[in-house]
Amino acid sequence: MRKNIRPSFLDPRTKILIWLLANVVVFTWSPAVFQLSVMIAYLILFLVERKGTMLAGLLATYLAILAIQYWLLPLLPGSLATVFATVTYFILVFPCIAGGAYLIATTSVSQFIAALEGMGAPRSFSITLAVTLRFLPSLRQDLRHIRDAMALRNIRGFEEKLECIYVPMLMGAAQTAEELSESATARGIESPGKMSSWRPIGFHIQDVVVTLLFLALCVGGICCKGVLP
Amino acid sequence: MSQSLEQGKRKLTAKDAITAGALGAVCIAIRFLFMLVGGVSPYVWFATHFIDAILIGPVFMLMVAKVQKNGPFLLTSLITGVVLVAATWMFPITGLVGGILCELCLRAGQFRQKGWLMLGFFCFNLGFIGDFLPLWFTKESYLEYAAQMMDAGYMATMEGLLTWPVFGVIVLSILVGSVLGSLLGMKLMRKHFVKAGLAQ
Repeated sequence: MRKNIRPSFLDPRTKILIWLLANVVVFTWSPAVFQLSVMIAYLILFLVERKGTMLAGLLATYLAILAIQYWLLPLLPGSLATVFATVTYFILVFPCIAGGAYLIATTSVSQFIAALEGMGAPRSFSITLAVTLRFLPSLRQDLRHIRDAMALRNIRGFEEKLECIYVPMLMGAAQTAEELSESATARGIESPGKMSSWRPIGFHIQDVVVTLLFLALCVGGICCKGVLP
Repeated sequence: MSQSLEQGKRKLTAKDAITAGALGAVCIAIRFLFMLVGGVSPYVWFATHFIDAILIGPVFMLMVAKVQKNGPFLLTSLITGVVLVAATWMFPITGLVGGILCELCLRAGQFRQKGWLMLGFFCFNLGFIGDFLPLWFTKESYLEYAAQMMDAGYMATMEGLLTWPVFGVIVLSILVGSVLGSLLGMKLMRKHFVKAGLAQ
């Protein structure tokens, strides 16, 4: 099961740091050149981590948004165009979205925990975060099962539908939480010592290089504000 | 089980953290879904928090009933911010503030009094308002930026939309949504969860 594990290219803490820097670049409204550079840097990082499909998806979304912006919006009258106004906003924050996607797609839950331990975050925070991340995919599965069951019973009406989705879902979540906590306690999740990790994390030369690159983009963006387009 | 009912001063156990994580995942799924829906247009976007508040009501009430101590709401609120942080860096900050306020309200109401529960839930929902804040706080730079690509009529409408009164309306809608949501939550609690023995 653990055969296909490659050491991750960047340390999770570095990923969080560069993501923060990318946010600074975007929300100080740096010149477009720097925003594009952040995008490109993230695209390269995606390639390095061999997340090609994810990269393709992100690029397709970006191009679709750009297409709406430049082709669809000029055709619409002003009042109707406001309906799509958020599109402009999405273009602007896209580097952040790419960064967040990179952070989440390339970091396993256990690495997250190890990084949080390393940063001295409280245990209750890291446990909650790990459980949340782990639960999201299983919720989708639950939802599918509930929908099947609902189709079988022929349920009508909005309120009834809502209740029929909601109650089993919450019951399931609460029940699973109970079982999960029993099993985790049996395995010693509450032991006070320092936790070790299956996938060790650590800083390497590439962490330094990438951080410096993003720092440069950040500083450059703020300095060149108003000079460059 | 019975020890956890002692008033909220006890330390948070791993079990509480896991419960918070599991129910928090439901919150995040709902918020994320409507965030995607809201991406279509600002009008829809501004309304999503209202719907969020109604839908999250039952989750919140279940969490109150299951944990009955301080901590998990702050954790959930903060983690919602951290997980959805890709949208804006404001989330963790507003999540932190909203979560703390929510915990204070709950403690004041001993996790039981309905008025405090509603107020706490309102604070919990306010913690998610972060996704609008950058638009308001950096309005000038945003409009300047957008002006390069859009025509004047569009800009005027957008500028009319990004005003503080509109922001007030959003907060008001969250308040109404929170009240409706907590009522829905209490109703579902009585109707199902208490009966199933999941909570008192």
